[in-house]
Amino acid sequence: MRHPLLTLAALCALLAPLTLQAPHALAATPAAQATAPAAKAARVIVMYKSGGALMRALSAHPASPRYPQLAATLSQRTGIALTDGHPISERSQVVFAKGLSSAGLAARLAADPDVEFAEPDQRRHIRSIPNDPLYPGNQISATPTVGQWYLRPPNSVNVSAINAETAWTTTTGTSSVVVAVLDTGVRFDHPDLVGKLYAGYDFISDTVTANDGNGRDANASDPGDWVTQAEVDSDPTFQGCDVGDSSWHGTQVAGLVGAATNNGIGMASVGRNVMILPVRVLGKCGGFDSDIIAGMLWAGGLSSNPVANSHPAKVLNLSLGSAGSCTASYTNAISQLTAAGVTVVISAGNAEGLAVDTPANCSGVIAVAGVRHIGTKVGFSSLGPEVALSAPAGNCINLSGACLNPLLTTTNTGTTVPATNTYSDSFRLSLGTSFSAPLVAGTAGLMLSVKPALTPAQVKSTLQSTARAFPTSGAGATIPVCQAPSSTTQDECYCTTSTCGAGLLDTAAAVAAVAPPLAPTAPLSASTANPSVGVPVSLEASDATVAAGRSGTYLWTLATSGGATASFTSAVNGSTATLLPTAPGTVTVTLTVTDDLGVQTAASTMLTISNPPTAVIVPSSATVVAGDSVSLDGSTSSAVGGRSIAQYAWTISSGASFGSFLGATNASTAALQGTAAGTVVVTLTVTDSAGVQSTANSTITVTAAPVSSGGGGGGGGALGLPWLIALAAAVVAVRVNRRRLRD
Amino acid sequence: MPHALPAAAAVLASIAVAACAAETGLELRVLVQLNQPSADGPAIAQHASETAGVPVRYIAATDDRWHALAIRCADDRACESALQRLRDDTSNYGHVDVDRRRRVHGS
Repeated sequence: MRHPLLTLAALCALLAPLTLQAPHALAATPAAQATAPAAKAARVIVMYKSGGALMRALSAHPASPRYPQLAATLSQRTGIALTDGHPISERSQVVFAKGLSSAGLAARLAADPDVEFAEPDQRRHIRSIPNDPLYPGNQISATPTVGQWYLRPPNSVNVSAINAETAWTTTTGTSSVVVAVLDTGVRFDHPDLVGKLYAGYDFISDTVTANDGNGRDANASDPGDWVTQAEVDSDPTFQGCDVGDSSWHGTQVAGLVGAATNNGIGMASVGRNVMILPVRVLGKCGGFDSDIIAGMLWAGGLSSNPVANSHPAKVLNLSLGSAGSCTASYTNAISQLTAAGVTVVISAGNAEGLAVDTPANCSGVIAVAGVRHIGTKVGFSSLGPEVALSAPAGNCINLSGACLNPLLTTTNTGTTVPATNTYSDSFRLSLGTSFSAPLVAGTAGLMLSVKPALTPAQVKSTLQSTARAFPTSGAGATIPVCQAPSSTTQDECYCTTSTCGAGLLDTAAAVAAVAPPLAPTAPLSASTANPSVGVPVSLEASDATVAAGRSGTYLWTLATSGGATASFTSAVNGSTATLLPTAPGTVTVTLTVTDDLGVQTAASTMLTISNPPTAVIVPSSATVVAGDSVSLDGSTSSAVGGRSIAQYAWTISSGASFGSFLGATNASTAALQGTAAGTVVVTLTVTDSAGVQSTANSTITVTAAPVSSGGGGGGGGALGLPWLIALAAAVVAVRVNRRRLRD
Repeated sequence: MPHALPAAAAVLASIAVAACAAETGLELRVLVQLNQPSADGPAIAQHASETAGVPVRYIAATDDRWHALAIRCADDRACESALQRLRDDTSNYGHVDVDRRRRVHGS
């Protein structure tokens, strides 16, 4: 036997369902749009008292649907048509209602004795701008105050800014994504890296260049990589090496990838919540391929030599290289890594417009070139067809004094051994394609945070397809277009897709391209939660939404229980529907909104169908003399389904000039005084405890008061004594009767 | 008599020689890919030494096929010859790369 919902779905398909065209927050059909837009539903969080009657009653009936029942009971008590939303905890849920504000609904619900509290369910937004003090515009040095310009949305000044800030509204990364930084090691004690670093490993096999007293070991901390002139002069190991202070290069790269962000300390990172696996492969004067490749395989979880890696990385960042062709050993390692789902990001090199270094020129990696803040190739960056895309590398503009557009990141003040942890700035510079690559690696970490199944090829192709076009002007007429690399250096030039990759890194676009579409929303409301047999129920979902750029369809379905019967008397594929209850019981109405990608959201509301109450009027007499009164008894009116009569309302439907009520008109009984001869139709409206009403009518005939027989010819107009006595008696009787009625 | 090495090998050899001279003097680091996986460092070094005709020191493994070795040469020409002899031993070595030094790409 086919499932009834499937049958209904098939029927709806045949009926050519109306289509939701929702640019963002609208999901109304054209027909629905033609009508007045429905008021926004009030949305409230309700917490029920743990010892309250509601919770106790539910405990006694564990099989009943919990949250719809709670909302339905609240509806009965308050007389507000509530739609149950999703549960939050054992005792709390979201409820919706139309026709009043969230604050108003919360106040009404909070007054219920079984409600611990009720408060508006307010929309919150991801705070995309982190509170790290160096992010907005401060630096360790006083000037300039560009802060982390490269992470913000691009503008006419900072054309190459990567727009990470916007990406963070989609994801701030997850700690389950690990980005390995194969570099000089890290300063584990840097306060902006605390809690963001796994232990990692030191793969430097040569004791002299390792500078930590041993070869490969489990300590990935950076002891410093300074090289002295004496070492270059006297030790063959350092022949050809550059003399220089310690670089803290790995600490700089790690900070850009994943420094602790929104922690009120220092800087923000691209990857924010991603974790960093430091793999030390570079020591004094760099490192050898054999150690780098060993570290790559270990970082990606492909090698357990010398120990197993308990935190294998999904992304490797290598901000290193040197000239030459890709070697067989790199080709072999990279093919293994990519086959295993590991994305390898490598900086192109700082060869001033010459060819891309090895290993960035190896097939299968994401080679990253460097651009200036205005989007032109920064002078020092290498270029060539192997480059996948470009990202800021830092540039100074002026030739002396403070550098104007450096890439601020974590570092250390020590010129040899570690000293004070700090941040690079306009004087302690972070410049180079070394710092372009981690912006891409961090972006890859964000992409994998929202879609872990991405392959390295998908990561690369998405980064490239979402990259922004290189500028072709803005740097001055003297700046040339970048040419294919040769033996001649090229400083600043206008990038092309054959020299600097597909374009400028756009973190927000890359993340958005892989983020799952937002699920539709399906808020529905019913004109009543407690309908009566024979009384149509209006169902409405005009506030349903689908993700921006998507379209969707509606489908209304119902399930009955307790003997209830009901059927739709309208189409079931519109934003509204009408349900006709035909027998008492419980009906659950479900609205399913499906977008054009097949993403569905369903919401339900439970309706308790009852027979309406019965109104009954028992008059003391069907006729009354004008001036006299008749008592009307409505106390035999009745309700069903465990309900009671909550309200009585007596009115005169017609003949109001012939009679009027004496005393209250909202009690189970009333008194009608005839005022002139005629016919009075009295109506009693009873309302049961669920708010369902019923009426009854009673016709009372008012007759004229008897006319006096007269007091002799000369006494015209004067009453005789017997009539006066009778009139006095009647007045007394009426007053007594009034008192009784009032009592 | 013209040199017997193919052009590509000649280029690599010249790189190796340059590396000998510029980086380690009389010691050249190489990465060899074994056709048969092995974790026996001393044996790998011993076999490489016999093939290259020069002393070889075992350094480290990248995996069970790829191993870093240091070949000790009397001069640049000896390094070039030793490297070529290793490459010529295709029955034991799938690849022989110079284990080059890489440097950071930033300040």
